[in-house]
Amino acid sequence: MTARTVLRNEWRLLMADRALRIVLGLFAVLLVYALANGVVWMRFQERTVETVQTGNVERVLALADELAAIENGAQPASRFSDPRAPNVLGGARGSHTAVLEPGPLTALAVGQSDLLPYYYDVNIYTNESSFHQNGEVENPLNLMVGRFDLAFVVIYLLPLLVLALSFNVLSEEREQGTLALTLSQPVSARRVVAAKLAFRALLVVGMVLAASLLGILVTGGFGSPGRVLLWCATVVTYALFWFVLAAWVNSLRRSSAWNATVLVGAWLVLVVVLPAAINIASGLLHPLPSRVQMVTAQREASNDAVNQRSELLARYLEDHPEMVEGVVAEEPGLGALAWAATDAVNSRLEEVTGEHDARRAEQIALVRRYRFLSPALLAQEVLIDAAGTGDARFAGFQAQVRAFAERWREFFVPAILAGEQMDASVLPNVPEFHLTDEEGAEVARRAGVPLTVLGGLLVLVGAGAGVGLGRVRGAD
Amino acid sequence: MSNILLIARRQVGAMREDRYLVFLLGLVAALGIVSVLAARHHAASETEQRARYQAVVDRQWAQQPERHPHRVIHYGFLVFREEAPLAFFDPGVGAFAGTSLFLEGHRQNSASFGDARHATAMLSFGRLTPAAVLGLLLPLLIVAAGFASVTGEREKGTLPLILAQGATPAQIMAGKALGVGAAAVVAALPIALVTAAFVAAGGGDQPSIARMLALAATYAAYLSGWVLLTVLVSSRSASSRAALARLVAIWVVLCVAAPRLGGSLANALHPMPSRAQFTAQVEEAQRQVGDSHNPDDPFFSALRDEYLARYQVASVEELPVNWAGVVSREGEAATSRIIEQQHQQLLAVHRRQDRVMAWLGLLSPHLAARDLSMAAAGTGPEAVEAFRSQAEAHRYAIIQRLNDLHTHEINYENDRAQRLARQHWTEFPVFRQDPPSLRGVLADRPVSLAALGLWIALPLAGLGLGRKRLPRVGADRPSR
Repeated sequence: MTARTVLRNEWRLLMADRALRIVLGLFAVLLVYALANGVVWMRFQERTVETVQTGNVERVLALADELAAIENGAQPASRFSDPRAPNVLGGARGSHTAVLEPGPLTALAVGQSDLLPYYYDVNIYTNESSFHQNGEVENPLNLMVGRFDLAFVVIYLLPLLVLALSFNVLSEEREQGTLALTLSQPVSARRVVAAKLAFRALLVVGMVLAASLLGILVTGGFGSPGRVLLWCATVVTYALFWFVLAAWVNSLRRSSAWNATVLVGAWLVLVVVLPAAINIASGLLHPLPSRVQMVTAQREASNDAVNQRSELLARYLEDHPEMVEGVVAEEPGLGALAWAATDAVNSRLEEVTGEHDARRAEQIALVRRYRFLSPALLAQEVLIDAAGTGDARFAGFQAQVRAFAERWREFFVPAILAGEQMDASVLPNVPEFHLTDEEGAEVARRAGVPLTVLGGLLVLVGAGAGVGLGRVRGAD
Repeated sequence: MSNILLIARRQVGAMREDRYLVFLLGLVAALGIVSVLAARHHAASETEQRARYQAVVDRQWAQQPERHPHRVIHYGFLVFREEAPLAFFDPGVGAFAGTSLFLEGHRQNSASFGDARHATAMLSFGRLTPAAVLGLLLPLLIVAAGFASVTGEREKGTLPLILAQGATPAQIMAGKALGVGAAAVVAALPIALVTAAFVAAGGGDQPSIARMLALAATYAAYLSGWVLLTVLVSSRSASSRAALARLVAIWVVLCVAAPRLGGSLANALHPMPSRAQFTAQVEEAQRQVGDSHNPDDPFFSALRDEYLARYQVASVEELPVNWAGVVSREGEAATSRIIEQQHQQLLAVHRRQDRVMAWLGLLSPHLAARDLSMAAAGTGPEAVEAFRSQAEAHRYAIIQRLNDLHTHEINYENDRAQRLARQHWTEFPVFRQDPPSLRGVLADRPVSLAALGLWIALPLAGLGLGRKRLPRVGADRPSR
């Protein structure tokens, strides 16, 4: 009996089982639906990014027009929105929105991209608190539920399909009395199970990979072959893990019902209970530093800095040009004075936030160790990282925005301090944000450890299954 | 009646012999207790911190030095969202909504610092809260306890014996449901007891008895439905294996897949604008009101003419009130109205999305139970919205009061050099949060209530209709 015979027989058997046909069909439908969902989300992000970038261009054009008009003798609408003033040109009116393009495989895994901001308005007043005060318009209920994307189907549902297809791969033969017959042929139990599982794996993994590649094709994700490869490797490793787990349980020579209960139990523990338990335990063992404290500290910092200057005349005036009317005609160094206060606030904020962020990073590093307990956590981490929707890519984006804000200030602040005016000629030189997206190698490096551990688990369980199956005799 | 009890005892005996099941029951009960302890600890420290820092902020406000009222408008005010006393039991949407809100003049900030944004992607697996143990894990335990309740008797060949002893099919199924229900009670009881102990012992905010009862009733109904469904499926299945496969499949669809499917459907039916779009809409609407900073703006020059005419003077300098304060107040009124309108439109989309989820509760009782659980615990979307709208009302009242001080206590001439005495700041009201009432939030959820009712009624009807067939299902199978 050759492997081909086994495969052909298996195909007939599977297709003869109405329940399995339904389950496979349902899985295919869910894959397509999840994919459609992801594509819709990615398109939404792309549209938003486009709108925001058009906004950048339009703001510059409007300022250029206004500057040109003023040069030709027109009066600015009010002295305090005069675009020639560097604190106006570099302030809210001239701000530049820094954008993170959706990750190349966002359509496959929404990941953190619906939770973390992917664009920030940058101007001279951008500081640490701007990163936190990012208006939220999303429905909290939807954020809580999470998205129905391909990553969800792979992590939660794929194992169940695998288990449904393979929980009785050997036990059924025994229960139907065909095992002795099969093993009387020149073939080992190991090879029979391997052939049966290989067939099922081809079927299941083939469906998921086909859906993934379709999604990548539709959204043009082939531009990052490294990410595609990483995604596929993770899907294959994770799916195979569940197959070999089923093989191992089968090798214990118990009944099909026992196999089913144990395997569903394993799924429940590894995919549902452990991650949820880790989330709650990590809050106890490694509590994140209080944000409430940081908010209050940020506010105190702002007030201290402001109070240092006798009565923040300049900032006050800048916020409230209408108050100045007929009060102060000229006050030399007004901009410089205002900047002094702003700068003092910013540096205090950086201190406070830096401390908070450092402690938070420590805690998160501790929490992340626990992901080795569950293959689902490992797979999720690599999948969303490969998709470009993981925590790391967003953190990298924020760091670049921070650096960009610094460049922006370096461009405008000297002019503010010198009390100079600007004109249309500076517009082409105003800094623009260009994202340096993470290299494929960097993503691969981050994925190295979790993927190796996942592969290690696969090999370990696979070896156990191999040894166990070696002991199976037809006379069992 | 005694037949029912006998059969229930028989079922309990069978379950006690199943070591795997006993282990599972112990595990679920232990997880339940741990979840209560952990969630309680987390919630208590969070509540304590918010209260402490709220007191700091309140004190800072009251201790401001002599200041110009408009300076105070920009000094602003920070409020923290208070979590409901039962948030530890079911945190609801709390982690995904902002926890603090900065209130200042000219703008309506949105609440920031949602917990989820500061955690890692691991959080998308959810937290093991008491609500998750009851809503997600206990149904599976019930399935494990009861999938073989009827099929097992049939497979062992004892079903005809029980029938021959005079038990009717209805009594058998009632007894089985009672027995399986006993397992659910044993698993759920520790959670209930620890929660009750915490509530009884815990100081601070006490949840009302009504909320506790509503939570208990929600989960009792939800879990009863699972017990009935499990016995029903078992009675209709040819083998224990088939019953288990069906029940696990049902659980996966209802509890794991349905929530996300519902969320995606709600999003597809009622799409949200992006933050950029929303901000642009608000700015566009604001532009139409006018620019208080521009002296030639039509809205504000009309206002000026009106004031000049009312007081019969020629210039704003001669007004008996401070014109700058009037401008500030009218500008605030106009912009606040517009922002609130925009916000209401956004919320209307949220509410429509939530309604889609509520209707889907008819298909998945897990959604209905979760909805009612959040409502009872006071952690649903309306709690977050109540905080936002109350904070906005508070902000508006304070800002306009400051503008009135500006208008009446500060002279127009040499405006910015003047100060108001410190005691003014102590006279401002402190922000008090008033969570939505239990009656109100439950009345808003007729669909979820009906869904939970149906969830019990349908399996019950199925059991009633199926009782005649009970002896026959699987009877044509050759017995081994």
